[in-house]
Amino acid sequence: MEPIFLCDVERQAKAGPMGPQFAAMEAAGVPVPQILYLFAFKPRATDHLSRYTQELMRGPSPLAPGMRELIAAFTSKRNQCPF
Amino acid sequence: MLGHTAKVQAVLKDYRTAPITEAEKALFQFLEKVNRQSHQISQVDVDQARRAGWTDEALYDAIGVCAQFNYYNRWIDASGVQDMPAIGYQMSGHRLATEGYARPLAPENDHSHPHAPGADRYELPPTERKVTMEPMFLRDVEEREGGGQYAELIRQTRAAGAPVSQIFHLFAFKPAMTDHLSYFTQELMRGASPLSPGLRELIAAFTSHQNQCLYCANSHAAAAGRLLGSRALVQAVLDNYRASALSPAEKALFGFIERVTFRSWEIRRGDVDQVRQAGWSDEALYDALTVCALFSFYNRWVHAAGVHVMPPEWHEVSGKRLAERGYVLR
Repeated sequence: MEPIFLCDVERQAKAGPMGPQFAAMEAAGVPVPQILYLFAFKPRATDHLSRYTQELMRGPSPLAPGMRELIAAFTSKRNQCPF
Repeated sequence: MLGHTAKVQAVLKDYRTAPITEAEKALFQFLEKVNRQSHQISQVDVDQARRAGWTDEALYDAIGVCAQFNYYNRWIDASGVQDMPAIGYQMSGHRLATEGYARPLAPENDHSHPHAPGADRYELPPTERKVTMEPMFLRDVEEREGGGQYAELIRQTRAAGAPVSQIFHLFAFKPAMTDHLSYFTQELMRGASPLSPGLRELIAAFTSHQNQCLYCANSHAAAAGRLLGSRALVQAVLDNYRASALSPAEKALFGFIERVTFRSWEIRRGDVDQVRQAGWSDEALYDALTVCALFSFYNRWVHAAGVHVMPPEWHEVSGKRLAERGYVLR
């Protein structure tokens, strides 16, 4: 895969604590979702983002988790080609 | 609706003709506006979704998800996260469906139930002027007492006879969730970065101004003014950053942020290389686009829930609190 635009972010993410996991995925021929580099770059901040997202998407809600995922997909689809 | 790939595809293609209930169609119609025109949402839109059968809690959650993915979309687009082969999406879909988005917390890192803040730690707004605020669109969110650090702040503010900044209700409604948002925001806006806290506040104010979110723009312009020591510079950047006293490198950064806000899906490697050539490290760009993406979240959250703009002096109080104490209230 092409590196992300912020190549230093990707490089540092691979050199950090998550590095071995990325290397193992690559060795097994599994594509690494590059968003994981964005999380691995500043985990002091992004660990909280993960937990917020977890609670938002899986926590108690009148909307089922599947419905919340559909809203996420709907939003993202609209933002890829909005006009 | 779950487990039906065809139904999901139909909704993504056109929710109006998809085989879903009328209530669900009304919800997607509402969310389309949250996504693209959140500054135009009014009580009428919210009431329409309510009449279709959705509770305020359901709408609060749906708005939260839509706003959150406005964050992720920009984060991914502007940093250049590439498309994956189909197997990659199958695997990440499986991971998200089974494990979700975060590992459980080790107890020492679990900040999800912060202690109530001490009453002496807050700068309560002046009480001379009586301010009546319009109610939020999501009345139940505003009326429920809520919990955690923001519920305590609401109680203190009321006890002092001062009006409550309505964003506090968005935090107090689901504190087990929003406490993590506070910590993320705090680390992003005040943690280690090549960008000063003042510049990060300016990016927040600029993004909010572009998204026509007066509430956020006013509060973060006040915070930026304090941290940068010049309110005039902040105003000049919001009015027209190209004609402001920003350095050429800063202008290049704000040009990039403007694109992340409005047209992140068009950003290419060459655009990022160009702003990097203006002298910014990848860490600076990562921090800047993350701030912009987060405020694209906050702006929609605030707009769609009906958090109303306050009189200017109250935004000054918010700005002072943000500048001096940051985003976590303890």
